[in-house]
Amino acid sequence: MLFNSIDFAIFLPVVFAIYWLAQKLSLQIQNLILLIASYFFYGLWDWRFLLLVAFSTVVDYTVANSIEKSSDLKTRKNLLLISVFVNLGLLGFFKYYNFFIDNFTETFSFFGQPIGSLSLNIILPVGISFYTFQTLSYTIDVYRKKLKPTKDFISFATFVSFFPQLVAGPIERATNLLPQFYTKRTFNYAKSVDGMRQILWGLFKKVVIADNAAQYANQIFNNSDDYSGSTLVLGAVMFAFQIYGDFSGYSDVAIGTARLFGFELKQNFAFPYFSRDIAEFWRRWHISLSTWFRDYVYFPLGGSRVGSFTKVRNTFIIFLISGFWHGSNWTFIVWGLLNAIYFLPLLLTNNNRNNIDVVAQGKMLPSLKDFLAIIYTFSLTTVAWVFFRADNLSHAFSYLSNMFSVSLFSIPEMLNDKGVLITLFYIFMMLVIEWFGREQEYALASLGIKLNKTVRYTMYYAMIIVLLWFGGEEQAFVYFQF
Amino acid sequence: MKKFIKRILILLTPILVVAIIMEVLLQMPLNDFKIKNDYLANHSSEIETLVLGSSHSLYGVNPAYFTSKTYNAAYAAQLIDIDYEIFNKYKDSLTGLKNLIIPISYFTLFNDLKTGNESFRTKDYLLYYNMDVSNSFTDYSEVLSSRFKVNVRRLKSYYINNKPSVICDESGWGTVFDLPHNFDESATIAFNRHTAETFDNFNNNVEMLTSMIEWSEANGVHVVLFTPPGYKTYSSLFQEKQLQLTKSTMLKLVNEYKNCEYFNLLKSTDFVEADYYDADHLNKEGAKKLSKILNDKL
Repeated sequence: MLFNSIDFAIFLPVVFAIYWLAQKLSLQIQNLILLIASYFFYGLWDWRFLLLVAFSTVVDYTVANSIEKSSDLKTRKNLLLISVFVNLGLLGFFKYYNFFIDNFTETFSFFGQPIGSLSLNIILPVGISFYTFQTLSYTIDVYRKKLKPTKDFISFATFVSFFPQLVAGPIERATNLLPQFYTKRTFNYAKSVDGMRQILWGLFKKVVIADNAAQYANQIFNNSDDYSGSTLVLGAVMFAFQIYGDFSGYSDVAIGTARLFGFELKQNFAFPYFSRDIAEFWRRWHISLSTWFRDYVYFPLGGSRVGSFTKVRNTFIIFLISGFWHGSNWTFIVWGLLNAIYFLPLLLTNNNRNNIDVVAQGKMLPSLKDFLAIIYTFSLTTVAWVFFRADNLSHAFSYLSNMFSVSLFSIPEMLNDKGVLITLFYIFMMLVIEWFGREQEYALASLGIKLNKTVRYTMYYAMIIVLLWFGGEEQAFVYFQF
Repeated sequence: MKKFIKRILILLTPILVVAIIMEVLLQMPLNDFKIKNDYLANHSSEIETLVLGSSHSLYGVNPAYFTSKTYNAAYAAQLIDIDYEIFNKYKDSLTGLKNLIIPISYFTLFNDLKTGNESFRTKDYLLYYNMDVSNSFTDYSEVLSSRFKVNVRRLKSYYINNKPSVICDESGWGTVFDLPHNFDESATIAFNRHTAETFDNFNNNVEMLTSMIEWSEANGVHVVLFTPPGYKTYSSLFQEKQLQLTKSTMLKLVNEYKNCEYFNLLKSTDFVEADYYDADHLNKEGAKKLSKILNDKL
């Protein structure tokens, strides 16, 4: 079930009504309602996927409780390894089996030992990369004694399968989300209105920005040999906004939906395209994944409090894993590698934490220096997105070589298309709204405080009309494939 | 909680009101589905020759050139699955039926409307033919089943620009063709739309077609299957595998059922450029030629 579907528009109010009506009964019943709703939500994709979520839930619930009971370090470690093996095993099989097998067979063929294809026809379960990381972090936190394992199976199962963020995050930590399942939740008007507002903004970014930008990004990327360098720049920019609108839009709907049920999820995007350097970009893009890798991979490797060589090694490891997490294709690995290369100079010169605050905080406009830094950072990320979007490495390299050709300085052919201009206009509008809301958790967060009721409602209706105008295609979210 | 629900309802009420008004306005005008369903419901016993199929027969078969009482029940993108539903709905009341004409185009045996990329049209059969052809609740509504943008354009076209909402005449023949008359571009577009990604629907489609032929055989109805003419820019693109499978299936059906005949007019030299609207649709002149040919075969 997609967030941008009529099915979800019916599902959400029904679950919302039942859930809050059950408030008077007990917390357990409320959690059970969420669990059933979550399994229903996920099962609509393919009921077989439910077996995987249930399996992952049972394993981590059992392992975490067993770790807690044991005081023997070796036993605790072995139990943790079971969890790691099961979760990464599931992920590895469903997501990476064919990648490794294909590369393995190609390598043998290259050395003159051809072997038949061993690849399998495997369906990638939606959201597996997200919920396996979520359950894995729970067990690791229990192992590290940062968290007491729960005895409440319903709460844990709901934590793993919580429908707002099950299929594409944010990847929640048990330390943040799990305790919310034990706490009595009462309906909060202001939070619910805020949740609705964030859902609206998320849908706007997905339906109006991402889906429109996707049309042109696809057209340009799929026929990249036919276009001038400047049009290829336009294609890469369109993709940059497609991926942003798509994923941050999804996160906003997820966070807003969770808020309707009385849950607070972590912010996943903090206006990343206003970043002044790559380090800031990575603190603001897909925050739940970046911090996951930081806490469970980067810090255990020594982080940045080590020698230069180890620091460089750790940076490369983290970016390569991050790239590989996105998909079993060399394009994602090179995308990660390129970001590591962008990041390294900042790290080695200790400039990676220069831009911690919000850009032009308290000011209407950025300084020229900040503005140029934003443009520069956006350009770097846009070039990297070419690898992310390309079908394969040769496509990416040919795209870039055509892009950086003499025709780069021509007027993009596609600017004649009215649809392109309309899409660019909406992107511009989104950036303006995001700029004025950049000090908040999401762009419209302060709308209820800053604007009077008439203006606010006019804005809501304008957004709903635009949403309806562009809606109806129910385009799947890009990050579902990860 | 009450305040929240009240506010949401206040916010949504204008949208719901607009949606209801749009639904009424969209359903109100007479359309081809209403006309065809009404005709079949009230005159099926009078029909001697029934024409089913897609736009290829909608525009290509003009009942005026038939000597028997003929009705064209075809419509754009109406594939075997829908033909089968229409036929099953009315077969018992088609008491005077002597001939059943079904076009077998390049795509006919491989695509289906219910799951294909034109599945948005299934709502028309559900709403106006009262046929159970969809499991989706959105197909019970014009507003929910089509994009807002499309619905607004339809309303504007009918209520503001006064464009007709009906494209067929009283015999069911399509007379309004408002697509671009371009032989190269339309050929590529049609070929891409008509070439099957998989042959998954093939067995099911053949089964439905066979079932219609078997019923016809049992009831003394002559079945004419024909591949309509296609302009060279279109027919030259066809994939051999899909084309051959169509031909071999037709041969098999003709051999198996004595009441069944097949005519391949795809590259018929009787049809020239002046007979086409675009690469795969015959115009009035083309329809006259094709209708006369079919009438002679009956």
